[in-house]
Amino acid sequence: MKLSSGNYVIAGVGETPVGKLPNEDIVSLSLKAAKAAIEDAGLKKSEVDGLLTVKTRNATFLWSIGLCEALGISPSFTTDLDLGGATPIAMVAHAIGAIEIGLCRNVVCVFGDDRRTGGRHHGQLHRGTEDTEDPFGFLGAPGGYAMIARRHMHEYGTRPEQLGAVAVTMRKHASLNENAQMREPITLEDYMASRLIVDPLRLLDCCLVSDGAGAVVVTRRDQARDLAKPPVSVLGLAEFHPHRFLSNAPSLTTSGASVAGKRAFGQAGISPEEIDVAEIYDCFTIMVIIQLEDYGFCRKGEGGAFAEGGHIELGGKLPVNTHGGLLSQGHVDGMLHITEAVKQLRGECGKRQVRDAKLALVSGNGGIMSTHASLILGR
Amino acid sequence: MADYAKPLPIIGEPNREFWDGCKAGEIRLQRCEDCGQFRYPPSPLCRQCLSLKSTWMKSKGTGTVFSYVVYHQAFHKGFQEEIPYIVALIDLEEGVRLVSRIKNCPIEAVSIGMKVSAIFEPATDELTLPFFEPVKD
Repeated sequence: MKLSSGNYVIAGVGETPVGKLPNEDIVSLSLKAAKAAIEDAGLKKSEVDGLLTVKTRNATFLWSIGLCEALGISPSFTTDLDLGGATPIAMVAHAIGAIEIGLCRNVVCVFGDDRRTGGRHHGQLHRGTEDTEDPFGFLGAPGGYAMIARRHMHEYGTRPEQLGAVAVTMRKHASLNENAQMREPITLEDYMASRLIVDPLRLLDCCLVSDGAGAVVVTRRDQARDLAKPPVSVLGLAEFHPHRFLSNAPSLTTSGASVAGKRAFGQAGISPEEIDVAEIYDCFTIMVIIQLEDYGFCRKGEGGAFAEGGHIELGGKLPVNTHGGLLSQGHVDGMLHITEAVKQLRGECGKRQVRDAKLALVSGNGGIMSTHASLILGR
Repeated sequence: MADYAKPLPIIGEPNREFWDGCKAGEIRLQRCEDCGQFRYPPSPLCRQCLSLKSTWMKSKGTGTVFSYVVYHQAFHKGFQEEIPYIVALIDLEEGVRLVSRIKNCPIEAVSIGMKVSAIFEPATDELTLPFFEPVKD
């Protein structure tokens, strides 16, 4: 069945608070988000027969089954996926595939993490950089994205002020979101004065570290009865994963969005100009700029000018990350980019609502520009 | 050097020859016996032609800076005393790209495209790390 038929839908969304939540852990956060999404969809627990999740750093063996057990579900389809920030969208893809071949009917996709206050406990996932990067001090995500930013600056003349425009806009949007970790507005001067973490990236180029969770329920419109909320259709969905480690990246300035985006727009039968709101994976400011280019919202190399021109603000040509994104709302690996897009299309966003939003793009990016997923939603 | 406080690689197959090379003062790379492609990081398989056959070769140890960053924050306590320090993606002449440090170079002097050559610094009795420095004219 073609996605553009609109038959595959997100029927419910759930979010927990984000930020420092020392009394929560990955189990409690994941369960609360899943419960909220099931209830938002108006489904009974007994109707949920699929669950997808992510084995984050503190997760343990048979993770998805453990969550199912805690929810009182014996699923006919479940597993953990592992694509970093592209995973939430990939979960939607896997859910649709599983429903399409009849494995299950209603799938909860949930992401939860306690990386802010949870410390390290039983599960400990190694990163795979121990032999080739760590001994050279190439540690932490900011280093990799700084390498990307430096190269983008070199090839296209992108300036710190343009990265700053992204940071300032995300904060402005977060100030309108009650569930945001950082709501105090910042200025470009604040951005320029923030300390260098890994030059050329400053503190305010970097996403937050958060405890939090989000979930969505995926189902078929023609099988969905008595849903509580208007379902939002999945019209386009694509993935493209160019590399694992930065030393083998085919490009430092073009992301997987350049391939996945075209496919997703093709499936939906729409062009970038028709998108009303974009929730773009913003682990670092430079990634918003690169993806604006790769999705075709502006020409290659002009992402910085596009952001600096105010086009990504609410009221602009393409409002981006209306919830404040990973940079200011909180870092829940992009799951809250999907829930925000759904809420925008349902008209539930209050002060930050994009008027009459009909089509939304959501992107996910994992590793060091290693994985990418694109999702187009419509009502 | 027992008090070396920074992360060290785990030496084993297939990377043993690479680290043995560093200890001997040279960068060694696998070259595919079937298609000629150089491999990095070390791998049992050629990602161009899927050949399992390779021969270790001595690299010229010279290349150019593809991109670089300057760490102002230590993400591991072992690097605290070295900040600010330069990390770069180095394109070796053989066609592989690797992560390393640029040493013996003021931060203001490093640039994309800069020519560099390998230098070797012992970390422990067993392990020597390959770094790079600007090629002197």
